[in-house]
Amino acid sequence: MKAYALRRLLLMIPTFLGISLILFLILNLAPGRPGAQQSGDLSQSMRGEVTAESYKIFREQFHLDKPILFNTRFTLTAAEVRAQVAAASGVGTTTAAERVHAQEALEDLGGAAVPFLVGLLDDPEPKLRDAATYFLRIDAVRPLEDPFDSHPSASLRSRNLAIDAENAELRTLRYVSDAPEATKLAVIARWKSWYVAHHARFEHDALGKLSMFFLDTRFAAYWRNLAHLDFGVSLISREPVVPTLVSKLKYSLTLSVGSLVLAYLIAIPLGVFSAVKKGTRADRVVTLGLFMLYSLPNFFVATILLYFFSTGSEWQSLRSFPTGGWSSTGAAELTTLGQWRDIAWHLVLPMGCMTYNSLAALSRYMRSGLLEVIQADYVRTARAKGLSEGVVIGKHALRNGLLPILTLLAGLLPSILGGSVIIEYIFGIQGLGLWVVDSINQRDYNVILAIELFTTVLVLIGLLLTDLSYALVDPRIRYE
Amino acid sequence: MRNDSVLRAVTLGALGLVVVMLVVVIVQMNHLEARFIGQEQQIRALGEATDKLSAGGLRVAQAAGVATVSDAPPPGVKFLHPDVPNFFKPKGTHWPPPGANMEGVLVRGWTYGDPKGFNPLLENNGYSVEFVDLYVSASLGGMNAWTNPSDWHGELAYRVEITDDAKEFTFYLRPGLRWPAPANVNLDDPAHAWLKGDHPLTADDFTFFLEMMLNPQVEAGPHRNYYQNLDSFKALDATTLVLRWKEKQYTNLAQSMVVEPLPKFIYTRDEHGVPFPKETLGTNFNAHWFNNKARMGVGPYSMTRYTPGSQMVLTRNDAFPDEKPAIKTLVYPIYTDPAQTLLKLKAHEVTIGELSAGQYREEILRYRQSGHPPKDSPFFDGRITCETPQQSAYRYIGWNADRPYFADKRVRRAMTMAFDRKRILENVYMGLGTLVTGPFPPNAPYNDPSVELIPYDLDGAKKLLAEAGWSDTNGDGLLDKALRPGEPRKPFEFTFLIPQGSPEIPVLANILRDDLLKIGVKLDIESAEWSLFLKRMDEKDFDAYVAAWTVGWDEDLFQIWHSSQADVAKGSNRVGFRNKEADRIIETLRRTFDQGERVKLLQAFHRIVADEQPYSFFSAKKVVICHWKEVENTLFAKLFPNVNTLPWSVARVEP
Repeated sequence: MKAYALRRLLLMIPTFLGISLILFLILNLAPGRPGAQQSGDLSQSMRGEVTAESYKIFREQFHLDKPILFNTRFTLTAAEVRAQVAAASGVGTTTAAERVHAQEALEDLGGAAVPFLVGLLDDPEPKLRDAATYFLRIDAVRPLEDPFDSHPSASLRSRNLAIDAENAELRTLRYVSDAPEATKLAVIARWKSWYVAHHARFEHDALGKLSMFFLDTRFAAYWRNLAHLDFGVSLISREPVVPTLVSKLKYSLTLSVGSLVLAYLIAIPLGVFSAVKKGTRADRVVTLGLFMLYSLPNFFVATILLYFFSTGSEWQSLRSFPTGGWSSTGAAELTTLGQWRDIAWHLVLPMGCMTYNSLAALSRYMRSGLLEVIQADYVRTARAKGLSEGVVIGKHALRNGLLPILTLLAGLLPSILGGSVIIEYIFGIQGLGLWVVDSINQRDYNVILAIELFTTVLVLIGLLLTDLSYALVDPRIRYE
Repeated sequence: MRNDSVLRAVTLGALGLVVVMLVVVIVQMNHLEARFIGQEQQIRALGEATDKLSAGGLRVAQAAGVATVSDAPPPGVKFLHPDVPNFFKPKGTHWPPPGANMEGVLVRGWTYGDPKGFNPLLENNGYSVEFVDLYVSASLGGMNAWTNPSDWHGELAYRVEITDDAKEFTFYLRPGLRWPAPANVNLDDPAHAWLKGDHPLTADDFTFFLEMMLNPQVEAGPHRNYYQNLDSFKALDATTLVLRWKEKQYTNLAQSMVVEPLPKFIYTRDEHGVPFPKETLGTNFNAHWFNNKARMGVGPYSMTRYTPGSQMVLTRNDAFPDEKPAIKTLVYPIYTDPAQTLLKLKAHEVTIGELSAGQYREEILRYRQSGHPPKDSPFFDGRITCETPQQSAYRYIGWNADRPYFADKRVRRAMTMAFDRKRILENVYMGLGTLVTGPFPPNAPYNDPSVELIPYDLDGAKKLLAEAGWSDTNGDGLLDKALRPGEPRKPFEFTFLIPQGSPEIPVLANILRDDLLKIGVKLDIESAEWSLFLKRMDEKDFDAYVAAWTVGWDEDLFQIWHSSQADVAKGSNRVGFRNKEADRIIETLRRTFDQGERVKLLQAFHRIVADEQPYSFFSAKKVVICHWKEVENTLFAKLFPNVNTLPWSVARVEP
C-alpha cells in the first residue's frame, strides 16, 4: 500500500508537467492578447511609436515577446527580416493585417533582428531604410538587469546606469520621415558606428544558440520562476498572483466548504430515510422532490430566489435577504459577532443554491450504500439479537453505509478551489471562480495558469485519495 | 454500573456549564465591543463637530481662494506676466446648493469588479477608474462641464497665463494644498511609519507626473502620445509651474489643463520607504506597491477606504481649498452583474443606479404605456425617480472604405438609407438616444442643425446603388457588379461584424439584414468576443461593423478622421476616411483658438462627414439614471452626465 502510494505520488510529477505543458500551449495559442477588458464603447486611445515602445516593455516584462516553446531566432536571415520590414512599412502590396503582424513580429524579435536591421540601413529603398531605423530604436534597447532588486549592489547599479544611458542615447537616434537627407544620413551613420562598437552582443556561439533554443522561451521563463514557487504577477493588475489567490480563497472556500457540509448534513438523513422506507410512497416523494431540485439549473434558481426573497423583492412580506455581496456596506461598524452574522445572512441564498443541486446525488449514494449494508449478514444478526431497529440502523448499518459517500469527498476536492462561477457572478461575490473568468476574458496568463495548476494538483491529490480510500474502506481492494 | 452513570452525568453537566459560560462570555464580549464601537463613533462625531467649529477660518480661506480668481496676486506671490489676463473663467456651476444637507451619503453601484489598479498613468487603470478620478484627483484646470465645457476654470491652480503664441503656460497653484492620508495602508505598521505626517502638494508633484509619463520605461504609451509636442516643464517654486510646448496647437490647452499631481513621496519609494535608484524608477513605477492600494489624489473627495471584493468609499476632503460638495460620502459597493443594480435599487441598498434598456422597458415603459403601474412599485409611487440624460457617446455603423463595396460614397449613403434608425432607436433601444447626423453631441454648438437626417428610404437606396453600378443581372435576387474592370460580376454580399455582450446589437443587425435583403444586398452577421473584435479593428479586417465612440468635448479630430491615420497600423481611422477638405479643416482647427472660428470650422467638418457617410451615424446615447427621492439637485453635466454629482445633494433619511 505504501509502495503504491509512493509510486502514485512520483507518477504525479510527470503527469503534472504534461498537464502544465498542455495548459501553457492552449493558453498561449488562444487568439486575443492580454489587455483590460472593456466591453461596448471604443474610446480614443492614440496609437503610435510611443505606444509600441510601451507595449514592447509590457511584452518583455512578461516574456510575451519570446517564442512559446523553442527559440529558433538564431536561424533568422537577412532576407526574412527584409521581407518583414517591407510588409510593416507598406512597401509592395500588403493588407493592414499583414502590416500589424509584421510590426508585432519585428518588435518581438528584439536583439535577434538588430544585425539585419543594421544591414538594411544601406538598402536602396528609402522607405525600408527609414523603417529599419524605426525598428532599431525599439529592438536595440536593452531591458534593465534585475530592476526589482530593492538593494542593488554597486556593480549592478553601474551596469544598469550604463544600460539606461545607452538606451536613452539610442532613443534619440531618430528622424521624421520628411527630414532632409543629410539629417537622415547623420543618424544612420551613428547607428552604424554604434553597431560596430557593440556587434559582439548580437553574436552567439554554438552553446549560446543551444541554450537560446531551449531556454530563451516563454515556457522556460515561466518554469524558471515556477521552480522557486514564483507564480508571477497578474498581467493586468500587476499584483502577485498567490496573495490575491489566497485572499479570494476566503470567499470561495466558505461558499464551497459550507455548502458541502450542508449538503452532507441534509443528504445523509434523507438517504437513510429513503433506504429505511425503501419503496414506500414517502421514499418516492423524496426521490421525486430531489430529482426535481436536481434538474433545476442553479442560475435560474439563484435569480428566482433573489427576485422573491431579497430586499429588492416585489413582495413586502418576503423581503428578508440582502441582494448579494459578501457583507453590508456598514459592516465595518459592527462587532465581530455582528460581522459574522452579517456575512452568514449574505450567504444564505448563495449557499442554498450551491447545496440543493448536490443533494439528489449524495442522498442517492447514501441510500444505495445503506441498502447494500442492510442486506448484509451482520445486520440480520443484529436484528436477530433483538436490537431495536434504531440501534440496528444507527449503530451497525450506518457506519458502513456511510463509506461510499465519504470516499466521494476526495473527488470533490478540486471543486472547492474552482468555486462556482455562476453563483459568484449572480450574487456578486468576488471569489476565485469569477476571477478565473475575468482573467480568461483579459488573457491574464499568469493568473489563469496559477489557478489551473493549483486545480491540477488538487485533482491529482483528490484522485489519489479516492483510490486510497477505496482500499481503506473495502478490504477486498488491494494495491500491490 | 451506578458509578458509571454518575460519572457520565457529572461530565455532561460540567460540559454543559462550560458551554453556557462560553456563550455568556461571547455575548458579553460582543456587548463590550459594541460599546467600544459606539464610543469611537461618538469621539469621531465630536472631532468633526470641533472641526466644524473651527471651520469659520476654513470658510474665510475659501472666500480668499475664490477672490484670487481676480487678477491681483496674493501676498508673497509675484506673477511672471501680470499684464496677461488669467485664462481661467469663473466656475459656471456652484455647490453646495443653499440649505442642502452636508452629511448626505450616496451609495452607487460599481459593476466592474475590483479595479485593476489606481495609477492614473498606467494602461491597466481601466476606464472604470476614471469615474472616481474626477472626484478624487483634481487637475490644474477643469471644464465648466455643466454650462460650457469649452470654458476652463481653475482647480488646483487659480491662475494660468498663456503666453508666447499659446506655447507657454504658467500655472499658479492654490496655497496650502496637501496630500490626504493614503487609504488601504496600515499606518500603524512601523514599516509604514515613513508615510505618516504632513505631505504638502507642490509643483514638484506635477512635474513628477510629467516625468513619469515621459519616462520611456513607464508603460504610459497612450498618454505619452498626447505629449509629444511638449518641449519642457519646470517647477519655478513650490506653487509655480511652467509648461512649454514646441508648436502652437489647440490641444496644448487641454493637455496642459489635465496635468494632475502624483504623490512623489510615495511613488519614488518602495514599500519600506527606500528610494528607488533613478535608473530603475520607471520599471518599478509600473509595478509599484501602491498601484493597487487606492487612488491617491487631491480633490473634492479623498478615497478613504477600499476593501477589495467589497467596496470603495470616498469621503469629502474638507481640506480642499475650493467649494465643498454637499454629499459627504460616496459609497461604491463592488459587484459584477449589472442586472443586480435594479434589485439593489429597489432594496434601497444603492441610492442611485443605471438601468439597462431592457430593465427600463420592463420596469417603467411597459407600465407607462398601459397606464396601470403595479401598486407598490417604487418607480411609480414617487420613491424612485428616473431621468434620461444625454451621454457623450454615439452609436454608428462603420463602412470599410478600403473594401471595394464601400469605396463609393453613394453605396455608403444607400446603406444609411436602408438602416431604419428611427424604428431601431424606438423599439430596440427603447428611445434611449437622439438620432444624430454627425459625430458631435447633439447638445454641442459644433453640431450643424442644418444637416438633415438621411431618411429611411429603401427605394431611394436601391436607386443610389443602381447609380453606383449595382444591378441584379442574373436574376438571383442579389445585386451584382464587377468590382474591378474586367473581373466577373460579384454579388453584393458582405460580413457585418458585431461585438458580443450587448443584447440590442444582434437585433439591430437582424433588422438591417432584413431591410438590405429587400434591396438585394446580403449581409452576413459575424459576432466576435470583445478582445477579438478589437483585434479585427486593429487589422482593419472587416467589411462593416457596429460600435460606439465615446467622445470628449471638442476633441482633436486628427486621430479618428485625418487621412494620414487611415494608413497607420492599428490606427483609429479604421474605416479609411480620406477627404482633403476635411484634412485641411482638421489641420486649421489645431491652430485655431478662437471659439467662434472653431464652431464654424467644426460645423463645416460636420457637413463634410454627413455628406461622405464614412459611418452611418445612428444615435447619441442616453442613459437611464434612477435615484431615490432623497437625492436632490440632480444636475447632469454635458460630459459623463451619470458620473459627476458634485452639485448634487442627498437629504437626511429617517431610518
